[in-house]
Amino acid sequence: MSEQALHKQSRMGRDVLAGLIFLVIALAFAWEATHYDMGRTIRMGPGFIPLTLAVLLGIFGAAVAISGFRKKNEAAETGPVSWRGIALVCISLVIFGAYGRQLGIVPVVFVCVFIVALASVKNTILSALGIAAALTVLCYVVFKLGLGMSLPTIGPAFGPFQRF
Amino acid sequence: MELLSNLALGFETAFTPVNLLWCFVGVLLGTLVGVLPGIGPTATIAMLLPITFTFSPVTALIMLSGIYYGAQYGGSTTAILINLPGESSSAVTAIDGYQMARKGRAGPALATAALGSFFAGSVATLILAVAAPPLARVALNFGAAEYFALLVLGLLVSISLAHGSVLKALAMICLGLVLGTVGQDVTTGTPRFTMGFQELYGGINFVSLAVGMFGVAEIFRNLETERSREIGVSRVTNLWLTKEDFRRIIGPVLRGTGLGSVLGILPGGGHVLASFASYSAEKNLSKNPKEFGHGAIEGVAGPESANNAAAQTSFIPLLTLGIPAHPVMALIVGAFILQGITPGPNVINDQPALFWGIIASMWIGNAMLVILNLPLIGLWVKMLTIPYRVLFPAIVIFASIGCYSINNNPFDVYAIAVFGVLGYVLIRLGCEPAPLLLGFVLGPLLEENLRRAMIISRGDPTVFLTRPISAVLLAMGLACVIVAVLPAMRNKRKEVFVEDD
Repeated sequence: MSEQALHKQSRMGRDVLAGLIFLVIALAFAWEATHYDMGRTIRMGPGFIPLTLAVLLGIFGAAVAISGFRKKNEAAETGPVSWRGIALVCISLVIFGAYGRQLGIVPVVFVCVFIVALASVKNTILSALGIAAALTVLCYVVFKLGLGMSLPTIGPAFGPFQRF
Repeated sequence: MELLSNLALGFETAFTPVNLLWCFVGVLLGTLVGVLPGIGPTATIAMLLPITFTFSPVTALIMLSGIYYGAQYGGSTTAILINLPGESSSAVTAIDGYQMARKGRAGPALATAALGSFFAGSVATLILAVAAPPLARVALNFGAAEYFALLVLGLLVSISLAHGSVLKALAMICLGLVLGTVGQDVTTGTPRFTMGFQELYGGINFVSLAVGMFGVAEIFRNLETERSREIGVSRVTNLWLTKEDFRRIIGPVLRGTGLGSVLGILPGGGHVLASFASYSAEKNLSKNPKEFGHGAIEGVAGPESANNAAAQTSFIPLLTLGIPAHPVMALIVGAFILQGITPGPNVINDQPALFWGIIASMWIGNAMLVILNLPLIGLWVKMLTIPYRVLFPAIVIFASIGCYSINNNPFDVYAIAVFGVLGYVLIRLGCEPAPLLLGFVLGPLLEENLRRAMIISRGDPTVFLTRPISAVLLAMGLACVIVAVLPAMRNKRKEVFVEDD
């Protein structure tokens, strides 16, 4: 019972939160836009349209938040956030971006897929390794042999084992 | 006849071995992602955009459009077999298609869907070929003010795409527009919102944004609740339709094609609207409406034809005006731009081989789809057994490789993570990502035309209201918002009543 209650967001909370996110983004963009030249209506500067759009976004954001306050507490069903999943997927993306060129396509795909696969509670270490191996072969064949992408097969990080 | 010689040029272009091959790959991949739940054509096209850089423009666009209409076919397969529509437009097909499958008539249901889609696709492509050139000629007379009004109309219409609140959809459009202003200003060269990052001078990478919002955010959502799918029908036998079946589907297919062709032209998710409209039309026209919901073959034939017809005619606003009707079309605009072609009325005249080649490829692609879908249905059923825990790592790694290979820029891969998380948060809070993507793609065009219109009118903002075409377009946009608000008000009342219980 209490567990289920945890997974319910109140509709009021989610609208207010969505509105606040829009407002914060709008404020950040509006503040930055004031640093640019506004120009006049006949020849608009680079700051004119971003500022206008940011103000519009702010207005809509505020309206979303206000409409949230006016609603009664209604529940909307959502599942529990998979923090582990989000963290592992993001880590894998950062590793791919940062070390892809040094590691080369084969090692980086293997490592990244292994990490991402662990995001699912249904994957064990062993099955994650299996998925990683299978996808490494697939990516090597499709992207390196088939499409000739520019990443090295095995990168300079492996010294003498480097392959292009 | 001009049309015939144009089509001849188109078929000449589309029938080269390279284009045939990639058209086939496109419809094959499209069917695949349509069948596999958890990945849609938007994310797939975004991931494959970088690969198409090396192709000639016509090959790239033939393949990308193949993915789109291929997905419409594949989506109906899962709708019928496991009651799980792969695409939003096949949600209606699931109602009666799944009931037919439960009664052991999965074969006829699939055959109806495929034949109806094929017929509708062929007719709608012909409509596209006939209607596009005159529309483009009209659009050539559009000035900056008219273009601005048209873009505003396109954005406002996209609100009808969003299922939830109109306010949130408007906010998402604005967020997309604001994100679209990041990067160097076209006129003055001033870098905007780059926070000192050299990588952002060219703007936020469009592919990263699309993959993050539509691919990775969706993965985060699916990881919330990991349920295993059940496959009700593992074997499909007897794909033939009886004479009686044929007699029953002819009417719905014809009506569905008509409805879909018209509604597909409307910017903003016409294909979803079309299948719903066709279903309710068939139910009203039927002699025994009680059969609907319990496996009426008309309930499969009509909506399937309608959504496929709409999928083809939704290329009309794109190819004639350069305005995408929904996220997939927005990505195809991206593909045009990356190939160095500005989509719009000039494409027909400047690149006739490209324009007519795409149109001809749609016929070829639709024919390939029938062959792919009916005899190979067993293969697609097998595909359904691929568990999600294997699928999503593949999506993430393809997305990383795809985005990285555009500019060999690590920044683009980090951007996937940023937009994945942002998209997930916003979707969880009830905001739809589609209006944001449209805003992002159309933003730069909107700004350019607004600034140009203001220069031409010497700074007089009333120009948008005094020029008749632009005034009419803006009024239509306003009407769309009002219409979108009305049902929301009705729903609100409904919610109040529920609370009183």
